[in-house]
Amino acid sequence: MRRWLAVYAAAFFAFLHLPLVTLAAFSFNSSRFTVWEGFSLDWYRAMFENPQLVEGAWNSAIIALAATAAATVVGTLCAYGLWKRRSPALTGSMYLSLVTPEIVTGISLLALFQWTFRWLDWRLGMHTVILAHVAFSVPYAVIVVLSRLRTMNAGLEEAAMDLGATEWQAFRYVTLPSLIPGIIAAALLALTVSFDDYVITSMVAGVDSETLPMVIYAMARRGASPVINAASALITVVFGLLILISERMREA
Amino acid sequence: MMNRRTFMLGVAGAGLAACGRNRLPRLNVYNWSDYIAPETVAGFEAEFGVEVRYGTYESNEEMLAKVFSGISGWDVVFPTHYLLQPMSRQGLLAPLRHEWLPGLRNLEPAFRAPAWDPKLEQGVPYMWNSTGIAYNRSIAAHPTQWADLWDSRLRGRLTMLDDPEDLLGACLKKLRLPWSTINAADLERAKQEALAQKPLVRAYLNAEVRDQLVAGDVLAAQLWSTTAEQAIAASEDLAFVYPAEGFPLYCDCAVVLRESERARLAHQFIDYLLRPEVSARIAEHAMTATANAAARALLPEGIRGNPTLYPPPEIFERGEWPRTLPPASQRLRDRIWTEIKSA
Repeated sequence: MRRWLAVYAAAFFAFLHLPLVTLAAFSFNSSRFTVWEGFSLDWYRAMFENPQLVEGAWNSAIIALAATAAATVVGTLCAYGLWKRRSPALTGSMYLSLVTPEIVTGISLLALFQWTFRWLDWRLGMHTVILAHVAFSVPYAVIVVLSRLRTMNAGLEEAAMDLGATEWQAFRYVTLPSLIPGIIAAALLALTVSFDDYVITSMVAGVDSETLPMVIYAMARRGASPVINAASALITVVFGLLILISERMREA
Repeated sequence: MMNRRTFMLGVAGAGLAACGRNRLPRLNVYNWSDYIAPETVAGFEAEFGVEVRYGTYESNEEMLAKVFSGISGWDVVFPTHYLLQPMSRQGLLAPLRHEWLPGLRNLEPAFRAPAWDPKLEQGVPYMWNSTGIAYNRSIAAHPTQWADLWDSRLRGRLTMLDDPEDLLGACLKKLRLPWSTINAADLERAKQEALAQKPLVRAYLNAEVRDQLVAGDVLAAQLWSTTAEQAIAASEDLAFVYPAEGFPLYCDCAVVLRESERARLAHQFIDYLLRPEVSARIAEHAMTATANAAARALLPEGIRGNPTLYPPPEIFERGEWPRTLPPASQRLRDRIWTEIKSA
């Protein structure tokens, strides 16, 4: 029985990770086809020399950082408010935006932009992508922070206030510090969903806001290229490192 | 603590810097890939003191998906001629200001009053191409008409385009019916033709057939003239023919989007593209046919008189400009296409 469990576990992890391993392996292949020829770093060099990929990566980084900063602050405050208020309806509405299909979110955001921009005379661009990313990553941040808040003792704040702290001081010096791990987790999740997103982004992107996933998708449509493998492998490594670092920070 | 704050300020600063990066007037141009010469955009930027954001797309659908919102930020795009009417009906196009386009007089007479836009109110014809037959000279009977692609001697060495409009079009033309017919009975007959031909067809391929033609694996292929010209340039054994029954002609047109706030600059860019020397360089680089007569005159003889790119007038006359199909007819064609491919 134990042996079968081990086989099952091995098969499960192979199923989970084998595609990525294959992709990463072929990013080091000197041939442009899926036949192994020899080790080469050419595709990595080609990736850094591709202006569209570099610009896409740069745009994605700016968008993800800006959206993460905004979504984490807004999400943390929102979670705190929901925790104090204990409103099941408002909390439920957070889950609603989590389960809304991306394409629906994308179309509705575009409709909203079309409607408001008619008076403002604005165009789609980085700002609309950042706004959209904040909109869809806030619920993730709220839910992560909220689950952390639920493990906390509500009596702590009351005790602090009994001892003379103002409401603000109680939040700032009692609640917030113990929330930090939850906030970091929320920020990481927001960063990942923002960096990953294709569907919503492609709907609300304008002239100067092509993100890395959009560039990779366009390249893939023009035919598979090992440059895509190299870019994807690098993205996975960067995010893997990020998660590793955050785990270390939580242990510390 | 200070460090983190400095970092966040830095991020915010970088964001602001990205917003206010440049003060030069901007023009956003969205064109097909490989449809311009390397120095075209730089020349315009230098002469007009502006900055051009030049993006590229691979299909009309890709371009439409961006500009349909009316707030996409693009100024100039290049739809194929049959899209001008539907785009204009959706309110996406700004009317052309002829007083800003003196270069229109350089156009070929056939493109100064085209059937799809007789007064050039919506788009300026840019480059054009068509669909015909590329073949290997080694085959005994050189094809001259679509019907020759039903010759059983070509079994397994023949490809047709992987495109419902082009495949059904060839069948319709073989039957001497209009390319853009919406008559269901006509389309049913075309489907029977396609099914009859299918046992001979090696595969339904688009531009990727080029290498197989050059290698001699494929002896005859329904193909776009520009792709055929690339194959012919790579192999002396190949030739191209405009089928006798008729063939489609496609013209990509430069349009100014209604959402553009820089209509004047957009017109200046299009007029720049109409300059003979600019258009000639593009036609030479992209190896495609320019709608600009003055530009064509500047091309080297080998290109100017190239019969694949520029069919002589008596052949050009047999060409047909496909029209936009109503959605119901488009759905019928898509269904027939599925039936042919899965048969």
